[in-house]
Amino acid sequence: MGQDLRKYLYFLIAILIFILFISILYYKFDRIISLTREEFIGIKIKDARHSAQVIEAMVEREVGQVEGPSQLEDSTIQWLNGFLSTFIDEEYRYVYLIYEDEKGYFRYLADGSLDSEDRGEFGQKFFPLEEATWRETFDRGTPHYFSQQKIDTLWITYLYPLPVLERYKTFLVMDISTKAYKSIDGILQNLKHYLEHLLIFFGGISLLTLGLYFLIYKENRRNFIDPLTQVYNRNFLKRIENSIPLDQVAVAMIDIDYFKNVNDAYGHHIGDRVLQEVARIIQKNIRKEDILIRYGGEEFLLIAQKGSREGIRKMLSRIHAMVENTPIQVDQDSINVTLSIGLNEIPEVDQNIFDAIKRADMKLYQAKHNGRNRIEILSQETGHDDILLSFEKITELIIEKQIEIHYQPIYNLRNPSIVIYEALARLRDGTKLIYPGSFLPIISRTNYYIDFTTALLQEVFDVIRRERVTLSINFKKSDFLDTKLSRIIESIVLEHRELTQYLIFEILEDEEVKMSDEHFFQRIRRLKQYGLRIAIDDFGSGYSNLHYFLHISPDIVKIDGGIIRQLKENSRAQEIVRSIAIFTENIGATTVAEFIEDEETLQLVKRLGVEYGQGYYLGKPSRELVKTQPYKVLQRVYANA
Amino acid sequence: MKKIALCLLIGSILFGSSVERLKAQLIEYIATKLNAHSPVTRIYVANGLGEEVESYFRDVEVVDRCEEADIIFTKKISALPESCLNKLIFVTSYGSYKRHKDRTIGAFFWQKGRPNIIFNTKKISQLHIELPKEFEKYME
Repeated sequence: MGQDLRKYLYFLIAILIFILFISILYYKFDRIISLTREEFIGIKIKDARHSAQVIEAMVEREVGQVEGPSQLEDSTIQWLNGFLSTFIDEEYRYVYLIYEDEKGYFRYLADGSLDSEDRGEFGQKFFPLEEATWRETFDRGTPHYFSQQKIDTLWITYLYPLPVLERYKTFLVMDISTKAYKSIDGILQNLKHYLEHLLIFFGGISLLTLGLYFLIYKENRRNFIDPLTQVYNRNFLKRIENSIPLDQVAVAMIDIDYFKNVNDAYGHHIGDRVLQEVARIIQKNIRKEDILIRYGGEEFLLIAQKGSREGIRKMLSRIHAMVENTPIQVDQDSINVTLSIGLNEIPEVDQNIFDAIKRADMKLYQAKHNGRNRIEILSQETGHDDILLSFEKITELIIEKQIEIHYQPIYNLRNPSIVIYEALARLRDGTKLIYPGSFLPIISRTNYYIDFTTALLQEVFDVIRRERVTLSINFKKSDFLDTKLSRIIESIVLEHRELTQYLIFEILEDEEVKMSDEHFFQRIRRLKQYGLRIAIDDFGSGYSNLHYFLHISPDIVKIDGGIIRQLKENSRAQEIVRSIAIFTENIGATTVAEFIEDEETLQLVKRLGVEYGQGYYLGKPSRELVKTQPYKVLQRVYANA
Repeated sequence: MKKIALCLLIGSILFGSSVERLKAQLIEYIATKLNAHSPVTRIYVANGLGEEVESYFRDVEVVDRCEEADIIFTKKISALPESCLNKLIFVTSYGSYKRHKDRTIGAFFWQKGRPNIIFNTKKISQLHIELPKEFEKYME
């Protein structure tokens, strides 16, 4: 948008400068005309003076000087008339001699005019229109010229003293026609009119451009600006996707932590204010050339121009700290929010901006997974493995079905047995294992994601058929909002209807569930009718939503690992876990505590009433399906039982 | 004062009007001054002055027959009938004025783009016409 508008703006500025230039030229043009006229008059007067000097020399030689007009013979007058007539042409319209008599009247001495109507006769009175000028000139006795304002056929009258008569002042008069002047004046006037038209034309163009600029600006704002936060929206990303130089930018995904809690606790209008404030802080801390896009609900995408690597990191740290330390006023209270940020410093290895965003999203996912309120960076150094993991590589592994399932046991903490295995998907690239966080964001919303899910589900049913054990598999809410994917899932489930009692779908709590998501609830309820069980994963974090309990009656509730990790130090966490366990039991569901990583946590969850447990302390994910519980694990589970 | 008025008339008309308008106003001015004793001045213009010139007349009446006119403006005296030769005749060419000085009271003509007026002193005194002072410089 900026580039388009900038183009129009530059165009407009260029036109305005041009208009200014023409205006100055136009207003100066009178001066130019005047200067040109003066210059031209100068040339003509020089010419006229030269002719006058020639006439003077010839008259002096042929006539000499006589006392008065009465001393002039007719033949001399005839000669004078004839001689003066030789100077008459298109420019020198009239050439004649005038003297001033005793009474002060101007009279003709000789006249070179060829037209008898125009020719003044010897002794005839002559009435100049600018009498005062003539008198001054005669008194001064020096050459003089003046422009004719009153006679439209004449331009300049040139008076040159010619001492033919001893006792009378005599002047040679040359009336120069407007023809010469009009030709140049005509050109100048035409140029002036041309400038006038040019001015009107460019004025019109600039008005049109201004109008166009305004319309485009309005249209662009409507299309590309998020009305709430006043930053760009996703449409803008679509617009610029091909013009982003990946080697010159860094891509950051910025997410407001626990934003749903803000909405739930204070209402959407406060949530909106938080979004506005966060957008404002980010906008204030980025550079003019950086692009900030509201990418999702509370997710912002920053495409920052690479100056130095440290520069971008510092900028994000500053944004991160500033958001954390800026209280947002809510009525009498104030709230603080934090950001999780995933930064992709090396988009140049990606195929396009969307791949680069996915990899930044992957880092954001990691930041959230590692406890939120942090920045995770994909850089040349830290992300070497990730660099190799291109979209092509992932899709290649999926096509080759290099999908592995690792099984993590879930124990019944009251009745010693492994009750469920959580099926965790990995991609195998030679000797290297690739975890979901590294590839799911990259293939999400593509057909490869559907292929991957299909392959995984088929494999899970194969294992169930073979081993007759209960497996749980993770899904996101959006998987069931995707009509194509949900139909495929449903058809695979229907194909294996006799095995559905062994399968649990874990719905990840990372997306908001709203009452309006009727399709989601309908599809989950249908799957439950086929005998599947539903677990809510990471309950107590993110978008924990009691609507699940209203609409789909989950069979299992897995308490968020973040809460379990805090059990040892935080009595509030213990109360929460106890309450969840009671609540879950009351609605007929089973509670699972994840992230049991030590003895103390194990004993705590058991004491707090949690029925099932899983974690590295009890059993790590393994390629093999461990059916017999190791002795030590059993000891752990049943100690103090 | 009247002299200034005539100069202003010539000057202002030259400056802002067409030659036709100037002609009309000068003819009207001369005619009314020469015929000051009569409330209406009738003029006859031989060969006509053209509709445009006549359209500018305010204080004179243009007649079709020279016999009815107080003052006649003509380029050629020879074109006038005998019955009109005793009227006040103004010629519109210097040559004609020179040739028929005994019959004309003056001349009014254009030369070198400038208007020229000449009053024939001898004829005017013969006819006992009192010429306004402002016309003095045009007397010949």
